[in-house]
Amino acid sequence: MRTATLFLLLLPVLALAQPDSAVLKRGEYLAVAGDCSACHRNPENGHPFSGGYRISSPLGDIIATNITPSRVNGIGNYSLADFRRVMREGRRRDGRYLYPAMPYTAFASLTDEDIAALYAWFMTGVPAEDHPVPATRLPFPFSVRAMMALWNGLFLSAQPLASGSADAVSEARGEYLVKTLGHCGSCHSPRNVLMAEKSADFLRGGEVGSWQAPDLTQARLYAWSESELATYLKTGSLPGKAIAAGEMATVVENSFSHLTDSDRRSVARYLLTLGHAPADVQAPPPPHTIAAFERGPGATLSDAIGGERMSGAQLYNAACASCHGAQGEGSRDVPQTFPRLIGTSAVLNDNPANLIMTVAEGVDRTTASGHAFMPAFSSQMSSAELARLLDYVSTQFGRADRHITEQQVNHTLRHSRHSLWLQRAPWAGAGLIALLICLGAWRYQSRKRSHHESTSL
Amino acid sequence: MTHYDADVVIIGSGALGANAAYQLAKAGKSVIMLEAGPYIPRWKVVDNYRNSASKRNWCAPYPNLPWAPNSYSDGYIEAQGDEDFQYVTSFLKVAGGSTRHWASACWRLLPNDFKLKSVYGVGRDWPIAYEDLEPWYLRAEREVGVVGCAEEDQSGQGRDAWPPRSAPYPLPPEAKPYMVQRMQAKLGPLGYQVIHEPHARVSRPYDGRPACAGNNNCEPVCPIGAMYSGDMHVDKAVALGVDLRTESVAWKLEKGATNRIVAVHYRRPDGRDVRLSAKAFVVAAHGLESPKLLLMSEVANSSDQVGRNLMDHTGLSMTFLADEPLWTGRGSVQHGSIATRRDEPSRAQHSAIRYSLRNLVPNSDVTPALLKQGLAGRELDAAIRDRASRIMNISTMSETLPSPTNRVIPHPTRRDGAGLPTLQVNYQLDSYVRGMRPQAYRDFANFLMAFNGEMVEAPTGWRNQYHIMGTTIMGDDPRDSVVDAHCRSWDHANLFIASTGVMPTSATVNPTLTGIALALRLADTLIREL
Amino acid sequence: MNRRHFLRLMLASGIIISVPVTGSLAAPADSENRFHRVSQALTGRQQLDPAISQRLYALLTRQNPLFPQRLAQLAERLSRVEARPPEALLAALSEEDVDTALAIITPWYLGYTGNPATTRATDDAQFVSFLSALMYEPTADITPRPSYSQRGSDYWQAVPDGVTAPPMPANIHAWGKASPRAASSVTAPQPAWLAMVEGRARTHAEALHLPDVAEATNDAL
Repeated sequence: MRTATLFLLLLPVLALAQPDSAVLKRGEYLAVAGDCSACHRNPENGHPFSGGYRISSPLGDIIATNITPSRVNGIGNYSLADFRRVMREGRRRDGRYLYPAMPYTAFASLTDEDIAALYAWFMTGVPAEDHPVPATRLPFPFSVRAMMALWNGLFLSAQPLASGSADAVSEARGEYLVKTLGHCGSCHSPRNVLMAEKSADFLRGGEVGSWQAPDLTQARLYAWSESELATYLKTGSLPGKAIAAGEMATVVENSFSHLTDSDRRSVARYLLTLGHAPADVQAPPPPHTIAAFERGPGATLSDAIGGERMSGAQLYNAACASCHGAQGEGSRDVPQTFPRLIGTSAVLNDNPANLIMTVAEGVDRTTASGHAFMPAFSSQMSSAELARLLDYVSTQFGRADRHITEQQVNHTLRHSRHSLWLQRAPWAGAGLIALLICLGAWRYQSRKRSHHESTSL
Repeated sequence: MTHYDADVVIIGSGALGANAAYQLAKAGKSVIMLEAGPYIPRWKVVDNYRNSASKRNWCAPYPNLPWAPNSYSDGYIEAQGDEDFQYVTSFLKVAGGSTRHWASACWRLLPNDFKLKSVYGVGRDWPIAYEDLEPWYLRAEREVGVVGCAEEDQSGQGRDAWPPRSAPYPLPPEAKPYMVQRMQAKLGPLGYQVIHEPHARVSRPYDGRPACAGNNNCEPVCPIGAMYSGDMHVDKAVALGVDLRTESVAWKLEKGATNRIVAVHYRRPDGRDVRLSAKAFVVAAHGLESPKLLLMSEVANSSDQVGRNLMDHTGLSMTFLADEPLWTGRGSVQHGSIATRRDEPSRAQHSAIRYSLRNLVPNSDVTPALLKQGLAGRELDAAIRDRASRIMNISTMSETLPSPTNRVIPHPTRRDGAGLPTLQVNYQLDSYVRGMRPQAYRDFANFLMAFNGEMVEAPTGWRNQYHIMGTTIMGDDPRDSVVDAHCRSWDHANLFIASTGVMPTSATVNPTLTGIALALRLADTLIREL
Repeated sequence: MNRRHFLRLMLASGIIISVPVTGSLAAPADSENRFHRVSQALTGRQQLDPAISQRLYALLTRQNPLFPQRLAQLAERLSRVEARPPEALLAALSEEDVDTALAIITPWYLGYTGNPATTRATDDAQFVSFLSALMYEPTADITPRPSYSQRGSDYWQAVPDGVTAPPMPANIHAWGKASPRAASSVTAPQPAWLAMVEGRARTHAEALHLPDVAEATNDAL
């Protein structure tokens, strides 16, 4: 009898020590869906979870930690409760607060089962690597992590969401993925001055360094179908509509392309329910006849070796048309290797940042459908030449009034990674937070007073 | 403590000079690289090409300057020689050098190519063996991004994979174009094995370059940078701090008291001269300008071999209409090769032969003749389509032997825009290469028969391949060679030559990969010694 | 590349090109319209680029001061003939008018006038257009205009559209060991084909009639 009792008591321990393979597989899948390795990877050896990668934030570099089960430098000593506290409250095992570069504001809404599956995967499915990671040091006052308590109080709130199933397409599943594991809002939502996502403008567009993460509501996606959006998430490419570049290319490569078809469709289904169609629906511009931009050989040496006097049309023909076609029509194979530019999202976007960045940095993205590659042009041309080229692409293949100036190009390419006013005026920042505390306290007092007044009648 | 302007001055920024510069810079050496011509970005060359009326002129889209004339400049090269062959060569004077307009065939020499004298009793031996250079062949292939099939017997003699390799090619072979499949299907039964030709048009994205997409414009410029060109290493070298001085024409190497080279003098377009001192000097100005510089400076020539032993791959070319559509022009300009005669016993009597299969878009070849016939409208269009689908060209790469009377010297009287001598060449085809004509004719007859062909241009004339070799020849004896096995001048311990001009045999393959391997090897020597 | 301009920079002796320069380059609009209409009639295209027309007309006039008259004469002749395809139009013209017509058709197809040199820096070729060069149109579905890729990597392995590939071994696509092996010895060539290679005949039928070939063939029988 005693042995039986002992056995029953040990059962949960045994179960924990040997999580069943279904749970492990689920945890592994969730880690891909959450794209944990995007931040927690080790840039030195490519290990997906042993940390060291630097996330550049406007406040400085935040160094992602080692989340392998290493007892020395990782999370090997974490219990399930500790892991849960990280994900739901943004607090480490030792009680210190995490910076919201770790999107716990999204993960907070994960179900218990999913958190348990992730825990099982990280503790037993991932090999431990004792890679030491330096501590993140942000400038004062942001080095005071305890401030995050206040920040969390203002901005952290979990939503009760059902997780749905990876094998059945549903809007609810899509909402769950987008709001938790996908943490799409981290990039695609605008942030307020305290760097929190603006909940009222969920997925209305945000910035990632010099790139722009577009609006994912109907204001931008009205012309997309569910299957088109699902295809884009799978391959990073929807000819005639959009190409994933920059960080989104890696998200597709490392995360979305590995999800199930139905999960991608669920995400698509959910996204297409958000927001309202734009006021004026733009049709793509009609194809234009070839301008007579061929002007024969140059007459002077500088004309023969440089582009100072070349128009945007000539620069486009020289540097871009070899792949994208003389009329921006792209290549003629199916599937289209070199995308059409006419009427595509990067070209039509109000914000030219992504078009500028794609031309400047190129594309390098590998998925099951192949290795998409476009060279970087920022080192090949002056910013004046780039600007003329981009202006041509925007006005010829997008809208005739969407000019791009050299100023915009320079601003985008030199976009500061560190928010200067926050860095140089820490005391101003501290002052602002003190003000907010006072404000919060005053409102609390006034509410108490009014309540008191109302209840004192 | 002597002050030097740099550890090393490299004269010439082509693929060989730029590769050496890059390795030296990686090893922390200070390098100044002189280039006679200007720097021109790739997209600008593409723009020039598209706006040129002379699109089959490989030098046309590149700047051609009074102080840095290319080889096509009227009167720049005065060539004397045979009645049935007028020597022409093609080199550029621009940052990145002549690989900016090549087709990037990247073969290794065969072991026997290093031992022509010992094995076949003709020509000269190299002072090194294939095995000595193999590690640098591998490094050169990786630097340049060579696409190849390591299983091929590149000697054509029915062996297993040959020559031996210590590691696979860095990139897998591209797909085989339909035309090459037809060649193989029809010529295989006649005894000719079509094999993969290794080249530097990357077959998948590599080192910041996109994969080849068949723009079919390797010569004069790859529009997308899939194909290697020397400017890629110029950019890498400059990014590591190499001081690239364009529009700087080196005209004199100054000898010091102890027979070391102490300085180089170069001239600017405005006529101003600049003197640079360095610990070591590398002359990398390709096969004609390098010996010219040495001869003008009166250095490195105790052997009296500088400028002599000029070799090229002068051969034959046949164009015909096949009896079936082949559709050349799909893919890059050259795929596959027939190496059956690359290393036969008959090399003791006459030149070896390697056959190249041309894959150009042929519309500009076929249309002028049709227009002259007075065709118009749909008749003309149909004729263009028909002929373009069936036209085919096969040419030989044939080897020549080093002869002291085949030589280049500074022109005794003519001067270029920098006031420096132009070039005078004497080049006569020897009986060794002439002797391969009967064999080539027999093979050409078989090729024609296989396709029931109609002759468009018979291979009766000679054509150069613009591969300059021999003019600063390597050897094991300072009395009959210019450089030793490490490309170091016998006469000046701190003078090296990075050029295909050091090659003592020409063999039947494009020499650039060998030249880059030698340049990497001499860079290693310099890094050890500096 | 317009070599005339570079020659001004170079110290080369002798200028190869001598191009008569007429007074004004600005042509009256009706001449240009006429040229455009005639060009379309002679090439059979209805959508030629008027800017290229303008450029080509100016070039041809610069090269030959009599060209406007020739053009007027040709246009007048064409206007008296009812619309028909270009090849039929040519058949209805006098020799002089055919010359003029060919002087117009040729640069529209080739994209240049004159004779481009391949191994010399100077020639008399003048650029007209590349993207409008008509000679690439008849093959545009199969091969690219050089430098403008139409497709991605490796497409060239496929059988071109419209071609029925003769039967080939299954492993014909492979390189290396897996690729079909050639016969172990080379076939002896036949006299007729050898004669063609030697430049003595252009077709096999012609070659068979050469005396030594006919004799060798008879001997072989």
